[in-house]
Amino acid sequence: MDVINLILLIMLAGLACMAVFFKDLLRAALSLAFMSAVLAVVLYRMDSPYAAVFELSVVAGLITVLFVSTIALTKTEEAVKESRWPMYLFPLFLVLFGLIDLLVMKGLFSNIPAGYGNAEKSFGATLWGIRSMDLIGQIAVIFGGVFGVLALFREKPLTAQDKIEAEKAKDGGHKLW
Amino acid sequence: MLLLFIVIPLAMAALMPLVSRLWKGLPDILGTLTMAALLALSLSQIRLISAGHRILWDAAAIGLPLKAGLMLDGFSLLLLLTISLISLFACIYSINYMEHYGAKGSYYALFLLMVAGMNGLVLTVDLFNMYVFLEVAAVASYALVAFGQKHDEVEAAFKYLMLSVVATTGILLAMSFIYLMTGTMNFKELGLMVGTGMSLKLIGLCLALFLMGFGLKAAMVPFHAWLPDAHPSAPAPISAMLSGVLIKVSGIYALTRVVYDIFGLPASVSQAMIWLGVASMVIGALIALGQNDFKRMLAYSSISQIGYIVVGLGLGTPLGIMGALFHLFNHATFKSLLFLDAGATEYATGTRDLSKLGGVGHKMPITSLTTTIGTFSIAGIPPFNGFWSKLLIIVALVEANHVGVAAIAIATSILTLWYFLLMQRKAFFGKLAAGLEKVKEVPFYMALATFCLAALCLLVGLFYPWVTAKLIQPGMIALSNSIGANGFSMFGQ
Amino acid sequence: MVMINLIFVGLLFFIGLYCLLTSRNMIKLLIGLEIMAKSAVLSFITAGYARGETFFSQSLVITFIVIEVSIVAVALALVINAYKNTGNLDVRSLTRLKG
Repeated sequence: MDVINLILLIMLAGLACMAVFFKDLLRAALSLAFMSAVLAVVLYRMDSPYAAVFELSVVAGLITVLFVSTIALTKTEEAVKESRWPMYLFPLFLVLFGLIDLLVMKGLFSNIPAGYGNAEKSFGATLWGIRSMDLIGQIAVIFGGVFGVLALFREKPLTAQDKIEAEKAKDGGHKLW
Repeated sequence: MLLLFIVIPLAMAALMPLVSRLWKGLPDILGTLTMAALLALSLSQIRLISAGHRILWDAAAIGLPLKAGLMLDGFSLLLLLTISLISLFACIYSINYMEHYGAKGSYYALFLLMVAGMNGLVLTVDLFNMYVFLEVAAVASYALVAFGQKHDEVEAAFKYLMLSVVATTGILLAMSFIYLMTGTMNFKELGLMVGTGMSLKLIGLCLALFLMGFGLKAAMVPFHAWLPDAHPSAPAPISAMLSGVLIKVSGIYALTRVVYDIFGLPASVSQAMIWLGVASMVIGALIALGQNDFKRMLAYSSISQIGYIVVGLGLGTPLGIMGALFHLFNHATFKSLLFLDAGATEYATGTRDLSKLGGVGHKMPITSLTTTIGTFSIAGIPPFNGFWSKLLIIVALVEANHVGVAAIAIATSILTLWYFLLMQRKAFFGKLAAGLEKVKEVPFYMALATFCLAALCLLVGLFYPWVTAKLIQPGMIALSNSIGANGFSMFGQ
Repeated sequence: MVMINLIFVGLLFFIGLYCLLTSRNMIKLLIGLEIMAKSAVLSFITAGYARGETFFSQSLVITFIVIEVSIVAVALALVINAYKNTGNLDVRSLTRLKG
């Protein structure tokens, strides 16, 4: 029984619950970053240092920066009022799901058969050799993200109709709730 | 050589920002030329595939010491052709339509990226690679749906994104379980290994996750909730691409590859697909009846027609697969034609509301004619192409002793004809509604694109023997060879 | 170790899904999405570790993390656009399309 691994995973789940139920968005984003750090340690202990460093630098770094800048850009006077009942019912659902999870996973993954080997000499050979089509996909998806953000952030001159629509939508948003 | 299908649109997409600064008209020209080049490339492969062969392309062929591979068989070629055709006409249409959106450089870049992603999806031999290209096309489509930055479009894009990411995370978990048990991600190797190593319950769980995930991308009922919001709000050429190609490539093609090549179409999945297909057929048609928004009605009609394709593929008999593949191609042509027409109507009159449109048929003859052709095709009236594909599916159903489902299919077809004729009457024929006196026909390129698509519907309908022999049959042979290859029975079948 | 990891994969997926189903703030929805993505990462690396092929699974995970970054970037751009259109971050103000 690997105790350290179990402790780390329990921390992971605990931080996830905190990230879901914190009212303050900034604290939720920071628990998400902390989750990434803990996950990086878990990955490192599973013989995956490259994935761990990627997770740490990209998810705990880049994505957290994106979240924090979005939170800063979208400050409102009144925070969105979350309803109360999900937080109270959550432990019940969690325990229920945990039991189902335990039984299912134990039944499904009892033995792991040997299969095709993917052994290569080094990590670089695997990434650039076997998974090279994935790299083309990565380039494409990065371009997609860049152009998507560019397209969605362009400034258009507002026509009079647009201004009326924006006012209507704002009233609808606040008045209903 | 096959790599060009992915690299050409990717390279052009990367060049688009530079190009759009040089001269204003250049993105249009380059985009259209790229699509034409891709279409020519895919047409050139028909000869090589027609006897049911597969082309395997290895990176070693061009001297790179990589182990990457791409594969083209009949099924992939059919989809490659569909993608190239529809994107060429959508590009021609965008020359005029996207004028008032601005930022054509970004638009064409995202469009080309979506095409590159879809091309990569159909050419790949690897399950995870398929997921990567699926996400490439999806990310491009999220940005394209929200391109106008207005409230409705952003709302639709946000809902689409949320639902889509849940689906793809489910697919990822299933892929990781399969990898855990078999150690490979290659389609061919997985097909050999899955029967031996995995317990039936695990196969059932993975299949359920795949059906849910790819079913959401294909907009099958009950995972269709994002489509009626996303397709009407997107700009018209993007609606045509989404409804005509993207849901088929990321949904139906991916699902079929996984279910046929890896699992060999077990009987329980076959049943599930037939049930889901019937539900999509009926529910899509019923809700489409009550719609007042032209494009929303077309979106629900897409859900209904996808039901036909899923039923045909679920059957697994050669005739059923042929009908489904033919209907896939036909639906791409006539649904994109109808969406482009709806966009043309909105461009000319400023509204999509069917109760406000009326009698614009005289003012817009070309649009009216092409919409009529599209209506007849989708309702399955000879000699247009929809008739033959629906007939094939219905005959396949009767042949496989699913007479009840065949009756439902015929009834849905009549329902389709009904609501489309209603739309035609409201929008194009009858008295000219108030405020529409100054409506004129749409600009040249929009009319050209819709006219070409309508001509294609008619030609495919007239020359269907050639089309089925050269294009559909290789795909059917490629798929039929994978059925029952694993020989395991599921759930006491 | 593998079994416990897989149990937590399921738990994390459930927590993320719960966040998606019950939150009203758009940014909270994205946080739920991120938690589900972490469960997928854990699942892949566990699979690689159990088979002894860590290089292969790390390549898959690195590709997946890059994809996840692009999705989050586009999603946040959409959230900012929605904020500009409606003035708040409430997901219930995005209910105009119906039927």
